[in-house]
Amino acid sequence: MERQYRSDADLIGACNHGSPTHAKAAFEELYRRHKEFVLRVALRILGDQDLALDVLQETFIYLLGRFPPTGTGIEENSKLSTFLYPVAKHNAISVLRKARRFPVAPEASLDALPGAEDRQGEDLRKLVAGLPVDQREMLLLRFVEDMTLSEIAQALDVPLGTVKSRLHYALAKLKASDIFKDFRG
Amino acid sequence: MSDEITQETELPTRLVERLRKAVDVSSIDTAQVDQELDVLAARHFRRRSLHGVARYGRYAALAASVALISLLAPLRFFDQWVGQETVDMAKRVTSQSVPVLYADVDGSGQIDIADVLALARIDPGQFEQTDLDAFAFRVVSVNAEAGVGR
Repeated sequence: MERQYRSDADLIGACNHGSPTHAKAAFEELYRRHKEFVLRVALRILGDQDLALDVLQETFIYLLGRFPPTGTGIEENSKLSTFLYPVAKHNAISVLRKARRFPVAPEASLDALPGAEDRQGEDLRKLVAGLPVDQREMLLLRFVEDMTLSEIAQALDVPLGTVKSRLHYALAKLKASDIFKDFRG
Repeated sequence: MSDEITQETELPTRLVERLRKAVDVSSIDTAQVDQELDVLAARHFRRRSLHGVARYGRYAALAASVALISLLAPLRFFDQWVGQETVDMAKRVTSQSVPVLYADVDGSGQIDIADVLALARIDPGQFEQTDLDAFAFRVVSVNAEAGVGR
């Protein structure tokens, strides 16, 4: 029998108020649904799989602690990614600072990600890696994480207009490149 | 500003697919984290039910203490009717050291058993059961000495 899809809000509700069995099942589903998102965020910042796995664990432990009995629960009206993004980013930057013992710019490199297997993929990666951090962040949240502009604004705690303008500049650079013409053609 | 996605803010599907492929993490083995979080989640949510049981158990224990003291405290003043042995037992049970907690918690203008219950409701984790019991003993003893309810 096909299982009914439950929204993030529904699962968060189960974690907030459900019986221990239902709450645990809902938490597991939230974890399964969002773990790759958290891993991508962490890996982009850290460039190290083991450290990214630490961030994955710390981020979901933090989420777990927000649910009763230790926490008061979290809002049930949004996608969990808007909640997880700042937590994962903060955890990853903290880990990176501890590891390097000096402050670094967030999401400094895409070099840690698996290498592209052809020239086109490699060119695209270099192009994206060459974008300013804030523009690259918008591009990846919008197109890789498939977040709406409102969700990005909520996750980053910035006005919607800021999201639009940063995305506009990122897309303008992408569209002006030769690689964009290759993909469009 | 609306949140609509326009043609200007779209990218060719093939480019988006390549972008996603470039940041793919599905090959990373998360088995150890999966397992640890599974254990932590089970422990966390099990505490929720234990917390509920503890809270209701706390109220039940408090109610039982209040009932016992309410029954025994007045006996201290009725030795001519119930016999010295019963009076001694009542004195033993109700003779507590002066408790720290003794206040008009609910703002009713008098200190009574409703204040004990109000205190228990404020923050179930803040006061020890023995403190609440002591408060209840004190309230019942003082009321009995003052002749309340006679």
